[in-house]
Amino acid sequence: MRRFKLHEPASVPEASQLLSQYGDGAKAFAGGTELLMLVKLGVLHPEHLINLKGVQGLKGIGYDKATGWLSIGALATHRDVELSPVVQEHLPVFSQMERDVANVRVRNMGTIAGNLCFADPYSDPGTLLTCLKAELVLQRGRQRRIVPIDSFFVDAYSTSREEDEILVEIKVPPLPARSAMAYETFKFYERPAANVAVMAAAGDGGGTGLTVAFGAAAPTPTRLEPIKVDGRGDPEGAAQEAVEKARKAIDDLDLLEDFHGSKEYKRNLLRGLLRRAVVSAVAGARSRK
Amino acid sequence: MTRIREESVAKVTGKAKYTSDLLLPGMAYGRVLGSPFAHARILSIDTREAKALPGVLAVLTAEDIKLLSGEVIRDQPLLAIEKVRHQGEPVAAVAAVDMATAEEALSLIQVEYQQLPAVTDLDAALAPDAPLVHETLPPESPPHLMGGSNIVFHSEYKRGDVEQGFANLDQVFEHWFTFPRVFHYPMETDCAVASVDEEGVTVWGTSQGPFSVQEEVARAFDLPVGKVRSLSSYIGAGFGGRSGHHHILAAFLAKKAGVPVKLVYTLADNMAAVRRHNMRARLKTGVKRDGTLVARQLELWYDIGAYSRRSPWIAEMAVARFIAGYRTPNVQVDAYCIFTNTPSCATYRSPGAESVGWARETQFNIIAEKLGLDPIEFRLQNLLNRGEEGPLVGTRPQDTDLPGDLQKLAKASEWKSRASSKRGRGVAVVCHAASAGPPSSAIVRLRTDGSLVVVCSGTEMGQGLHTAMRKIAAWEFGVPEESVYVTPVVDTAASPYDTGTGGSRGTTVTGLAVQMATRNLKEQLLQIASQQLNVPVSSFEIKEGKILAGEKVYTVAEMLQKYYTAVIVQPWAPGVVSQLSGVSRSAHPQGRGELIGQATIAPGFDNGRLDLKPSFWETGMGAAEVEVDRETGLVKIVKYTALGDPGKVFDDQTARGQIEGAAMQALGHTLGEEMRFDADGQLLNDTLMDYRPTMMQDVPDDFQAVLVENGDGPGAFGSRGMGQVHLSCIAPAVTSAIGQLTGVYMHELPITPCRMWEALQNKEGKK
Repeated sequence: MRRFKLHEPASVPEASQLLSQYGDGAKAFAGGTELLMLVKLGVLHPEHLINLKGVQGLKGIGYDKATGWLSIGALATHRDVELSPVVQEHLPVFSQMERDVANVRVRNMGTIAGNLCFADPYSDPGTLLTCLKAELVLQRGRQRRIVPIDSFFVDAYSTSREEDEILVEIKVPPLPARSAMAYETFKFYERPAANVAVMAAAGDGGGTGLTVAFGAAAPTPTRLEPIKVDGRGDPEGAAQEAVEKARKAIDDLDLLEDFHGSKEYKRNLLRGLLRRAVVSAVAGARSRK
Repeated sequence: MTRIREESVAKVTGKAKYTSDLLLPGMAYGRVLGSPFAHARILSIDTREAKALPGVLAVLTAEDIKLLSGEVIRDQPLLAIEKVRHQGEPVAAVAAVDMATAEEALSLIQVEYQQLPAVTDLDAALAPDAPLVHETLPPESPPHLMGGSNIVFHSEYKRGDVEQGFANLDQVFEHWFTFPRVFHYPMETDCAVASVDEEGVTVWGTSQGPFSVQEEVARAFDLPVGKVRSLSSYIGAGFGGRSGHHHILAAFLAKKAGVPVKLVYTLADNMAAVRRHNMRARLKTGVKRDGTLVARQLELWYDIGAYSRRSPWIAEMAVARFIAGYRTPNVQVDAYCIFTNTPSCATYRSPGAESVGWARETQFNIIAEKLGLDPIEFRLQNLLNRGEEGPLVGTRPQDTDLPGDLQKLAKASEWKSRASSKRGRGVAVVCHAASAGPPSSAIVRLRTDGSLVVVCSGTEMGQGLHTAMRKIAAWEFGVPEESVYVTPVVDTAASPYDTGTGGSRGTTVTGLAVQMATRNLKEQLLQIASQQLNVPVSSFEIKEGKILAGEKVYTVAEMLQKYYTAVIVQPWAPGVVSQLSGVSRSAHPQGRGELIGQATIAPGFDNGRLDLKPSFWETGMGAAEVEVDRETGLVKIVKYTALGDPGKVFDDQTARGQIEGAAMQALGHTLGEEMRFDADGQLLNDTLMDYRPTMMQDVPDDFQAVLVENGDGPGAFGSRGMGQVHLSCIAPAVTSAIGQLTGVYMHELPITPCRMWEALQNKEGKK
């Protein structure tokens, strides 16, 4: 590892000021699980590292009873989310997804905000949050803006965050009534090869609306156009229907060909994971009367 | 209660000292600059800027060291001379006051390369007009070498006439198998700390053979062996891959820098320094309708990487390990070692057998299925019986009970009971010629407090050697294990000679030396007891630390104290009768001193007990049950039953640990582990993100090891080595279990989910 200067700002404006001052030569980090690895591997040589761990007001996971929105502070680690009673109560699928992220050492250090900003395609949180239509709060100086997650991910390792902006908060809207979520990820190597998040909302007259997001198999997570299936019979039937309806969207994805396998294999994985996720989401939604 | 292994507490509490923990006053830090290209001519190297960087103490290139090494052919430079032959090949080395400065210095070294076409796989290397990895070989190279191509070595073995054998059979099977490139992946990368002064060279390092290091460093520095001191403490695993050049490089850097230098390889450095051979093999096997083996033929193309090192020996081991264990009248094997522009290879736990054993055992299962025979019955019919001579002429007759062992495995794995239709089952038997042999020496010291100190030169790298040595000494002497201590550091200046810890020789040969040294010590003590008590030696025995002489009982400590108290000479006034005569001069009322037992296991030991080749047949077996997720291609091993035949078990936990460790390590190359290079010879997966060794989630829930103790090995108390062979059993057992379940027998490892899925798709497509 080359020499670098470490900065430890106490506030968001101070941190964004440092980022603006040093431009390309500076990188912000919190857990360091992604950035420091690249620095150690010699992929990045930042002259200035800006440690956000001491920044006030970015910790904490909250739930707004009035609106039903969940709020995740930028310094919340994967482990914090996994073990948070608030998350477990209001969005158990989030905590379940986090339980499978990397390993416990990474989860203890790495933050979910850092994970999103790094925009590694082979990642789980982005897919789930894309399905949930999360909103990201970015701050420069004292100015904040809200970016819907769809327009946050631009490409692999690339986001719409400006260089001197700090992601300070992740906001997750409430689930509709009579809905359930399911998350499926396939991991053989350290990182996932493909993942699928599904939200099933039981509608009137037996129709079930599905919100589906795919990730890891393509450069960025993708949310599909809403899919309607018949939620009355065997969930396996609904799943087959969903797979058929998603077939074209899957075929159109710009899939990555890599160690995990060929594009054809990835398509197959997405179909399989979608089937599994729909079965459990549809069954879950149905049980919520 | 199970006693915790001696080594474990120190390791899990972080107290065990590894080479990388060592800090010397004034020590500098070394780094190596690797080639960015797989094949290139070095036009120039400019080190001026690096040398001028403040804090840089030494910069070395081939200008400074023109050293060539190799166990058969000296073809590998310490630092690249004129050409680089694989990505990451060391081109220069630096030492600086800290790591960051050393790293910065590397970036200031300007190397001008002229890129050459690279051959990065067997096909490219064997093509008629392939670029040559080595245009010429050193003139003193031994015969058997082939010039003018990338095929550097050919080993053949023939017995009977395979063509004749095949001619009269209607059951002849031919299959191709491909085995991947794999890295040893020790948890501790190669590391050495060296200091050079007028006394000579001292090197601490990760080494499985500190005496070999001593000899190599002496050769490199043109010094008498006695001027070089080599030390080795705990090692974060070895697996045969510790034969790198890091010790010598650290020593040259220390010499140039004028201060001690620590050289720790990065993971990428280490993956460029050493790997295991990949291979392609054609197997042709002829059997009678009843399953009797008649003729077996193997053609083996062994990719040895850019330098030959020990590869020709390993290719010969593969030949022997292919043939071993089964009665076959006609055998023919041709093995070729082929240069490619990839990192060179070293021994790797169970060398040779991991690939040819996988191919043979998988093919046997295919054959058994085709003939409608149970794969265990098929093997029972063909395995050598104890005492039977196998098809390797002139070797030791089979010394394990292969059919008996296999029946034990069948029972333990409940082979006869029908497995669920969702599961496939496969079995494998591997019996390999051990490379273990003399010499090993050991010293056992008895102190007057009853402590027994074992000094041997076996290295502890995770296998539990200290525990085994302690038990051997305790059992042989007749003292409780708690009073035996094993010196944790091997130091060539103080420890007795040993060829090294590898080839499953630690317990068998080093252990035998410890047993014999203990016996020698015991004889001395009994001689003393006999003199002290005026009783013949034959009337004593030692039990639980006590010398029993008829009615009388002395502790070992008392007897030695008695001896040394009696011989104390009053120094101040000969002739004056001292009132203190017989009283120790220390505050403790006992005599002080020690007895030293020693032994060397040399060729000829005990009428040639270890001389016949091999010194033993290392025997392992495994039965696997698998499930395959047809949607994702994920293979799950739900049950694995292994059988090891160490002859005698010293420590149950340690012995099982060896079997489990070897099997789980091999699950890596079975399911996911593979070094992948692109067409230019760039390693694509040099981190754990994309390189996939076995993970805890892969370990079968139902995993048991059966240990056979027939007391029929040549080592201490009838033991034989057992640390390697299990690495070769699980891949064929799993491959065959998948085949039995799905009808798809995979001919290429690793069986990644994607490969499995594609193979299943192909099968569906053909229907």
